[in-house]
Amino acid sequence: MGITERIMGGENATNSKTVMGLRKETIEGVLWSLPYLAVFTVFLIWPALKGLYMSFHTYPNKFDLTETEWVGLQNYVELFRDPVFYNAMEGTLLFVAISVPALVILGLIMALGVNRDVAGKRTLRAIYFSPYVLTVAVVTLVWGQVYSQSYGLINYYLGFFIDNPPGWLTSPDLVMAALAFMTVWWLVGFNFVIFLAARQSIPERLYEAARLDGATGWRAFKDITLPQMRNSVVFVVMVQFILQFQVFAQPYVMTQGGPKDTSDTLVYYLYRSAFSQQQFGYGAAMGYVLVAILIIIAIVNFKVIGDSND
Amino acid sequence: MVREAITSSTRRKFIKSAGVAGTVALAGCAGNGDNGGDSGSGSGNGDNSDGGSSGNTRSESYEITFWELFSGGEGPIMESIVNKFNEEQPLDTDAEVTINRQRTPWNEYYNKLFTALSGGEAPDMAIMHAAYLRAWDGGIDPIGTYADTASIKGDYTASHWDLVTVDGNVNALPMDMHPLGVYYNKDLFEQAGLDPESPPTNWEEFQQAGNAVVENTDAHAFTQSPYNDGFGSYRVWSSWVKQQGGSLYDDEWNPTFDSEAGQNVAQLFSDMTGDMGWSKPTSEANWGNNAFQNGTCAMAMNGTWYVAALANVDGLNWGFFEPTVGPNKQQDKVWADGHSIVLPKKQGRSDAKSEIAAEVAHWMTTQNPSWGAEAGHLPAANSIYESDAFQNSPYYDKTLNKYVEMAEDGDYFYHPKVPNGDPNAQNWYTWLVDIWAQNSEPQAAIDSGIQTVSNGISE
Repeated sequence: MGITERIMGGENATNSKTVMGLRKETIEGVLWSLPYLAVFTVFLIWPALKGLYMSFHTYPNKFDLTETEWVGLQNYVELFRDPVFYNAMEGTLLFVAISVPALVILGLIMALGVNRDVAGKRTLRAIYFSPYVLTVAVVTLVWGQVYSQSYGLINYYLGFFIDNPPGWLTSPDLVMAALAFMTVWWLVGFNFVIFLAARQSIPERLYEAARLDGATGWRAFKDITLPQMRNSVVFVVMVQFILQFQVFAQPYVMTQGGPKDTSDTLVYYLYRSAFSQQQFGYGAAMGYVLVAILIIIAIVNFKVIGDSND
Repeated sequence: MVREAITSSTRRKFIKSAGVAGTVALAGCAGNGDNGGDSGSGSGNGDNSDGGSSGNTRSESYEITFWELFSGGEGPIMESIVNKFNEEQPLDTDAEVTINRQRTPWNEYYNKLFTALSGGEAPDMAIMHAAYLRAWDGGIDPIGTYADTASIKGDYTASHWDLVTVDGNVNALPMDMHPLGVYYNKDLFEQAGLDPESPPTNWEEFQQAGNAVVENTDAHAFTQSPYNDGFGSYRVWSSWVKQQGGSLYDDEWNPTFDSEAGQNVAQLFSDMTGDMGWSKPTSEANWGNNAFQNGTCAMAMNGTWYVAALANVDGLNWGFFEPTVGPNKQQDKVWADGHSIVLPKKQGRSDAKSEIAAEVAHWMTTQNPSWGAEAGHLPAANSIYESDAFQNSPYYDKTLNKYVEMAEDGDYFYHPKVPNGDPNAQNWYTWLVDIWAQNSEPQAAIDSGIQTVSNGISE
């Protein structure tokens, strides 16, 4: 006797289609989901609600978080008057603008390339995906060395061609691009795998039919590949927007927001506000603004590239 | 360059002859220049400990959790101190007491400690920079609650005692003081045509030395911070601002460094990487450390702790001089802060355990000459100054006697014990790195710094 049957009362229950108006499958599904739902509630729903509560409060005694003071929207109002917030927003948007298109387009190109009948396909797959298994701490430490102006690998080789190679992490004009490039190297393997799986699931007969009709190359890509891969593209774009908007460790470890605050980001500022300045309410408000931005972006994404004409 | 030479033997004789009274007289470094609230002398500090209020209900064993932040050369020394305690069981008690040490890197340490404190999961004992003792006083138990501060006060130099006293309350036991100095490469000085045994003693000599290095060698002359970080830059900048008679904060903790002195030194930073050509205009992390240790930078300003790192560099022939070499100097002032040991507030910790923790803190701060002799800091305990271990330290002649001299002369001012925020936060001072790297004009950077620090201090 299965767990559902035992809970629902044995043979009789098994044979009945509904219990208290609920289908057996529904009850079974809920039961199987319960462990995850419990973890989800404790570690996501509850903190999210607590964060919302915190964003409407201040903490007069920073060492006793049970003491709270209701301030309504004050944290949000202050946030929208805070030039550091706007600077961090600007930095985040720049990082997203560079990294997300590169992550999506490059991932797609790599997947389509490997999907062709090229030699060493399996090796390429492993190579492309391998950076993704590294932790952010490792990636930032390694690339900190690679980017070093005086001792870095890049400038060592550039030194053969130009006199004063740039400071990748010390130039206000280059720093965000450098962080984004490193991030693309690190994460593009994930997108590559998703896109490759999606491409391989497209039936070959579609391309054969297209060929018979004279459609090859760009036309086949535009009219078959992309539409067939739309769900994957939407998924990857959404995930990358969400992830890259939360960029934190790269500026935290490699630049501390510098030079000249040009690599400051929202989550790094959130972290400083909450844990360095001990302004938990302010940090929570910033977190909710970030959530609002991501929801808007998700809606726009669905409108622009989501399923619309099937 | 002529300098009134104070030989190591003279220094040793002074300390031997002065004994406890002499080292207590290190109180010259009152260090209250900026923060009016720090004027408490440490006397009459509201002790309320009876040392036995728990009725001696100690159990047979205590594990004292201890958080610290030491890395580099200091880490192994702290580890050896803890191991020594656990092996020797030096406290006068029947109970077995062990220290459970947990190290967190410096840049993570205070965030982690704060989170633990606000979450009610604090350690029994923790290292804390004295600069935090005002902002964090709501999260720590004043040491006098569990130790008889009136009787142990005499174990420490008056200056160290003053360092851990906030508004008349002794919030911690002092471990050390770690002021700032200038480390220089003797070989590069020689190549530049300078006398390597007569380092600069004033701005003119300092300027002459830097220019000579630039003109006569391929090396850079100077780095304001080996780490090229904001906080390190602040140590130098604030020292030279104070030397010009400038102030950093007013009594209400409003930053006041947008003054003539502040602007002058900010301009000097810009000139050093600009027209003077003393250093590369870069914000690259650790640039100065690499350059100094590789022998391509002649002078680096850094704290006492630098000796432990330099000791491991083969072939680096280095010396040390006092950083009272700023331009337009009105007074000798040098930045200093110190490590202390606090007892964080912790629910459920018995009075008996708290008293044990206070005893452990007292032992750590008074019975370990290695903290001064090997880590290079100015020890807090009077007795250590007289110990053979301290006076025979490999760093005694190079750095320690000069740091002691500056203490005797009352040169030190303390890193501000701000009422809120994180006084060691790098982002409070990155505007100085922006000046150094020629990313910002000095005045614009000062304006940005005023804004950042004001926001940081206001709740």
